[in-house]
Amino acid sequence: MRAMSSSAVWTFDDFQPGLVLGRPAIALDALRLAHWTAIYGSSSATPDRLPSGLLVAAMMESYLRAVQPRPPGNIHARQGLKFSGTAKPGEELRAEVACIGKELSRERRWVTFGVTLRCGIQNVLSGEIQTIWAR
Amino acid sequence: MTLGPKIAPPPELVWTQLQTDAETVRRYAELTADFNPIHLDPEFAKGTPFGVPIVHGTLGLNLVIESIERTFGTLPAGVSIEVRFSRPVPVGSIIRAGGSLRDPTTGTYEIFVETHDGQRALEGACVIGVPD
Repeated sequence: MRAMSSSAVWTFDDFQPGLVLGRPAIALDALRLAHWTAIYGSSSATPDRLPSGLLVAAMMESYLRAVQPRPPGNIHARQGLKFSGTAKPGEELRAEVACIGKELSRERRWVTFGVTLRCGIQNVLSGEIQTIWAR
Repeated sequence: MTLGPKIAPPPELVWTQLQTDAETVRRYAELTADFNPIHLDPEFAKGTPFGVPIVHGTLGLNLVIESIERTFGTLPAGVSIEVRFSRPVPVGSIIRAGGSLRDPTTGTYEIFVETHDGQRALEGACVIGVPD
């Protein structure tokens, strides 16, 4: 079992399916929206509703913040998403990141992470990040 | 399902296109806190199998989500997406995203991101649902 305060990189053996790895908070602030708009333009955003892709970006940030340090060479192989709500500029998301599965298959170390994002009491996005772990 | 009554899913998603460059990727790194040098550092990337920096996978995925939102006006509640990242995209590539309706009874689209030469970088399915 890996200590939660460990500074060593996460390895395949460390992951325990069902284990919650972190609960980061993500602020949907003006800087975040500025980065988004600089990349994608502003056509899908409204004053009352952020682009749904920003939730995906927040999901990735949550995962990356919860699972670190990571070994170099990991591959993000597949991604599942289920949208169930939206968020407004200025709101804060609460994430829960968990390992939901791992499997050795054809000499590859598959690790799947589940990320749920809530805005207030509403679940807005559930994501499954399937990776091939390097070590 | 939020398409509304009597509105059939369109046969194609609105195309979206993006010219990627170092600034695009730097912005996306800021957005996701993903500063992996494989995306940002040409010297580091030289020592990888790709040889050059590659675009974050979800940067392309979000271009598909933009396609969906530009098609429907807003992302209908309950939308689900499953994709596979099938090919790395070198920074500097032009990518475009789109989708075709594959099953009108479920509102299922085949979705993809491809480079300018038609190589698929991401492919999968999106279930929008159907009008009540």
